[in-house]
Amino acid sequence: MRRRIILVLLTILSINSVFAQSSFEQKLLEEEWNYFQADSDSLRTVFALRKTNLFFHQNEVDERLFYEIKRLDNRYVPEAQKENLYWNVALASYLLDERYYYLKYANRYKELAGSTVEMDLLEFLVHVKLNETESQKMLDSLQAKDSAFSDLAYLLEANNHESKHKNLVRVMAKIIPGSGLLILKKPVKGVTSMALNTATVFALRYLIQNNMYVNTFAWGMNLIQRFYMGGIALTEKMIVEKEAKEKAHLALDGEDALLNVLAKYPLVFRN
Amino acid sequence: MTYKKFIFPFLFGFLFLLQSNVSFSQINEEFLQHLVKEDLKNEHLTYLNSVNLPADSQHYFLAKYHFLYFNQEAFLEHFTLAGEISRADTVLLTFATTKILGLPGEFREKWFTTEVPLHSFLSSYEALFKYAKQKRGAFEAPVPIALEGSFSKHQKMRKKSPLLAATLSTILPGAGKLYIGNVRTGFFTMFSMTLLGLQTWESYRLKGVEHVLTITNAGFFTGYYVTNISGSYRTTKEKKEEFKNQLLIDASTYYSSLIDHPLY
Repeated sequence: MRRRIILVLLTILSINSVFAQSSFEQKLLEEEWNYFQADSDSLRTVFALRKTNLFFHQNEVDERLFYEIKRLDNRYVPEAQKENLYWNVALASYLLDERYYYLKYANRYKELAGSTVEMDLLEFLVHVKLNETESQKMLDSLQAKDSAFSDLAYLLEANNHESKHKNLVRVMAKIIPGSGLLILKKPVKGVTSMALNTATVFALRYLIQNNMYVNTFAWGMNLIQRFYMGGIALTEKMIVEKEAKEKAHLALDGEDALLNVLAKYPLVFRN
Repeated sequence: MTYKKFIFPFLFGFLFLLQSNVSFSQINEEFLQHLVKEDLKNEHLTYLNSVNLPADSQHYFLAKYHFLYFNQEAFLEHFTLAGEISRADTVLLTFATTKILGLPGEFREKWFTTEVPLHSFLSSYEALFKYAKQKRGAFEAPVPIALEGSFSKHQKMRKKSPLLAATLSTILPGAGKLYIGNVRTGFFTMFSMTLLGLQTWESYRLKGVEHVLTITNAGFFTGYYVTNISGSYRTTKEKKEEFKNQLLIDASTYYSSLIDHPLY
């Protein structure tokens, strides 16, 4: 009896998998076969659209998706499916950083569905890395709709953040070698750089005092290049590192804020 | 009543077969060409894996696939497993040989020593490959106009001897680099060695041989001098290899452009 129950359960489970979707790749192939056999542009668009939707259903967006989108003839896309298609492509374009497709499909979506909170949020996320003024405007408009968006300002800040006094640090590194590193709170590196540059000056002074002009030229070229120019390059590297750290910190805050917003206004593919 | 024993396993097996992927009974050449034309790499592979074909035919199509989206290891594996079927396809062999001609490394060596000698129609590629590898000897066939430049550069470079370059660098630092045509590096080496020599001489003259500056300068001079000799030897070898590879890359591009049959 127990054996029978197990067999019945197994049979039910396998019936479930028979009617479940076959593998994603296999389905793509089947739709491609249909596309290949289609004898009109409208039919081909139907199958290309079905392939496109497979990517969205699977939550799998990669460059292959855009190949299918290229094959879509907008004239034959059913009106009922247009809104979801435009939204999905705009979202996928944002995820894959495909700016051309984003602009094309976001505009189509806005023409059809008007301005929605989700679309405004997506617009903000696209523009936040590119245009500070535009994204600030979008953020203001989002905040007017819901104060939950106010914390997204961290994202804007993270992308446009610049370290304080970095130009002063650069100039100081050129005037007094090592001082730039000290300002950046790198005392070991700063003092080492100062010591090496001071030693270079004394060594060159010694060579000149002893009329060793060839040595002054040769050692001078070598040591100045290594310690003075090297110190400037190191300071620049430290400025970049410091700025990146500060940006990463702000970005983390921004990501937390974004997660909170996404919990309320999820950006997902629509079926 | 014994059929009851088998009914569940039978039903289970039947449903298991049903859920497996849709398969195609044979290769549809037009569909295959369509997949190639549309550059649908993944669908192409799924298709080849879905078609019910004898093992050697399947390997043949997979070899072509891996040649098209070039994965040299997979290509060679399927090409070998396909056996006579892939060896009978002269178009695939010509495509593969011209492409592999331009690929430096063990793969090219293996292809030209094991596969190419089996096919007489590939003898001109074999001759070119052997010529590029040899230190001496002329290329028997006429040189195509498009490849004259590469041939001439390679011929000049193959005559250069790493040992002679090292000897010249020993006699006059920088001369070895000038000998192989690295003019800027050659003159820079001469200038650097002169400067190092002068500063050593200056410190010796003014401070004596035992002074720390003279010893340091002499150390740098010797180190640079010795490194330059070994550098000339190594650079000559590398440059010979580079010119050989460049000739074969140019030949590969040229002969590929001459193939008038499509792969699919």
